[in-house]
Amino acid sequence: MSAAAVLEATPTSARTPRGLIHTVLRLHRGALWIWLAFVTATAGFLLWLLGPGADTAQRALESYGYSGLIMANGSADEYSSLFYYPDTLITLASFAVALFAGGPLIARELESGTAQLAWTQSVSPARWLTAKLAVPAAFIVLGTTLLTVLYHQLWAAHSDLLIAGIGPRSLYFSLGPATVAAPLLGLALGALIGLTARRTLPALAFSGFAYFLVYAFRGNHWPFQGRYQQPELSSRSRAFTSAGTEIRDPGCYDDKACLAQHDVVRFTREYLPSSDYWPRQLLETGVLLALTAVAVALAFGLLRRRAATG
Amino acid sequence: MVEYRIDRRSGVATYVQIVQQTKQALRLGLLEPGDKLPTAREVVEATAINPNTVLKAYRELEREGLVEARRGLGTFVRRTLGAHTADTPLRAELDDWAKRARSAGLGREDVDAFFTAVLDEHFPKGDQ
Amino acid sequence: MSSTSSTPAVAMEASGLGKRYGRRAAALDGCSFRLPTGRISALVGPNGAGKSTLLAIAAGLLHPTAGTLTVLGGAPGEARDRVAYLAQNKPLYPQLTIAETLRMGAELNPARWDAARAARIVEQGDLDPKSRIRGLSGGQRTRVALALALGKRPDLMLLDEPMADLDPLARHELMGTLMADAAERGTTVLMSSHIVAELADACDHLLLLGGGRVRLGGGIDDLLAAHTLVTGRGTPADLAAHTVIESRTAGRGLTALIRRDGPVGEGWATEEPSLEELLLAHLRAPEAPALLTPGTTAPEAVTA
Repeated sequence: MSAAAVLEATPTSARTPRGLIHTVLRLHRGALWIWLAFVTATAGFLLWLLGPGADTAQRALESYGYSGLIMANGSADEYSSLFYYPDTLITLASFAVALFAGGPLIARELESGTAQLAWTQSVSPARWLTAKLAVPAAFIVLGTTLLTVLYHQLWAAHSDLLIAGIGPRSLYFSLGPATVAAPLLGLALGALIGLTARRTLPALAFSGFAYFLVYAFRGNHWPFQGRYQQPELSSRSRAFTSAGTEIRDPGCYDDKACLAQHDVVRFTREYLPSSDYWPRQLLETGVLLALTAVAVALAFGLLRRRAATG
Repeated sequence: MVEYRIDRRSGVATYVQIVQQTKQALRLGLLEPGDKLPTAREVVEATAINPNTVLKAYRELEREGLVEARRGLGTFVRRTLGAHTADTPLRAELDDWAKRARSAGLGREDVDAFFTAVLDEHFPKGDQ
Repeated sequence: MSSTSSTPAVAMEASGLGKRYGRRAAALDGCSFRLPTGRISALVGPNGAGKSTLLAIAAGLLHPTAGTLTVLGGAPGEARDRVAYLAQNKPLYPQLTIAETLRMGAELNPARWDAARAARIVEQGDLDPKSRIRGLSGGQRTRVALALALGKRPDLMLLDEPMADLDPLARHELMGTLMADAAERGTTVLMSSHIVAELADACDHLLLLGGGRVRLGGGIDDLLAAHTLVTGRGTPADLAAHTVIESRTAGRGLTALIRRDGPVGEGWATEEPSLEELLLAHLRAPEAPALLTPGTTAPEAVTA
């Protein structure tokens, strides 16, 4: 591609990609609205968990300590289970991003010829693909960053309300830069598969399969967020006496006589940060971003072989 | 303003049709000296023919001294074609000949063939 | 776009152009020609002759597998803003409205877009700008696609079967719009079509493809003048001095389409063929030697 020639020939259009961005936004406004709705709803859910949703569980903790939480967790819609829902939603959204990138974003356009329509306006295929990737990537980064930051706030405020075990440590290690990088890899893989398959249905199937492989691999290999290979998160449960002294949790459960005997009026609990968190997060983010870069480079290479990129 | 009608089945070259229809308009007084012919753009937009065909017809009309192209303004009629050809002695002679041909038993098509052959002989299609 | 006096400026120039899809027979094979600027050229040929392939390569959508093609002085795709392309299936975004489609044209062609022209073409078809592309008929889609192509004010238009879906009225009107644009701006047009009548009036240049290369190329007037339709009581041997494209017995004699080489002998009635006769004769005789008139010959091309 002779970039110099393009710049000479199209002095205005080459430097103002605003129109191209508007077009990409308009073409995929359905997906955009769905994404914004997902981010808004999930953010709202997180805020509810952060505020009013925590009240009952907080009272159970303060009254009976960790034991109170276990007792309060009889039904499935209890706070401790709701706490994980946003994580599930974010994972599903990453899958949806991969499917969107493979199908509607790339393959459907190649199949119907509308990509070729765009390439015969004043837009080269390379600039078209750049916009097609950059615009969704921006929304993915903004949306997932917002959700991850909120989730971190929630963790900091209320992780003490979770029943200890596999759940909290898996969630703890999954929230971070890698949460943002994962859907970006989905986007790049989907685009690469869309360009290869050039048909909507196969592209959807292959994108879903490819992202499932990524998901499965991440679940079982260090430094990824394998459920069973993460270090135990140590938690510290404490009780307060009426004099304000902090003592160990006497383990009374809801035995009021026992609590009175220890003069316990209030409980507190916290997860202690793991020294493993940042090495894992940074390494995983790095690997995901490197794979994303490889997929993007392959996609551009493939596009250049397909069409005269100019 | 004249409007050209292009008959695709006539077998007459398109530019010749434009020349003929312009002359007809001059004869009928639909166009007079100083009038402007439609621009090539206007003609091709209405007739969907090639612009060069219109320009070729206008050049032909200009060559015959009937119109002149004024740069940037358009093509204008210079002189008219008299409608008085009906009265000339030539016409009377042709009239006379046609009567004789008819009384000799010639049909319209025979006369047409005669006439075309004689026309071709005296007015060769040299410049087409 | 300036042209020197001796050689007219060239809008497109192909030299030994070839395109092979996988292991199938080549769609284009040694295709060489020159399309002078400002001509309205008809690209004709039997199905599978490589018309769509040639147009797609010129539009920068396909890489040739052999040879070169120069478009407006550069490689295909280098002058995207100055070239308009209308694909055979007229792809448009179904989810957009007509107005949004035209807005996309403005956004993707910021340097050259003529919004009034594009809007006028749509209005002529009595189309509501707010209706979605999804709900349009084939002819209406073609109209919007043409508005998109003409709105960018191209110097070169590549049209693949542009009028196939249109009713006669819309076809006449849109062809008129196309011709008006060419008259006003000197646009070079290369359009493929099966409808000879459509081409005979609108085009002044011809590229007949066959077997992946150009079999006839040049100004239509020049090509017609180079051929003669002869009828007489002679034998094929009497015409041996000329290149006989096609000959058939007619009563006691024969009628033939020939490429004259010197005067035709006595006893033959001669006539200039119509474009349709010329095309049909060449389509029926694929082995006839190629003919490219001087302005259409690519410099390195072998024309025989």
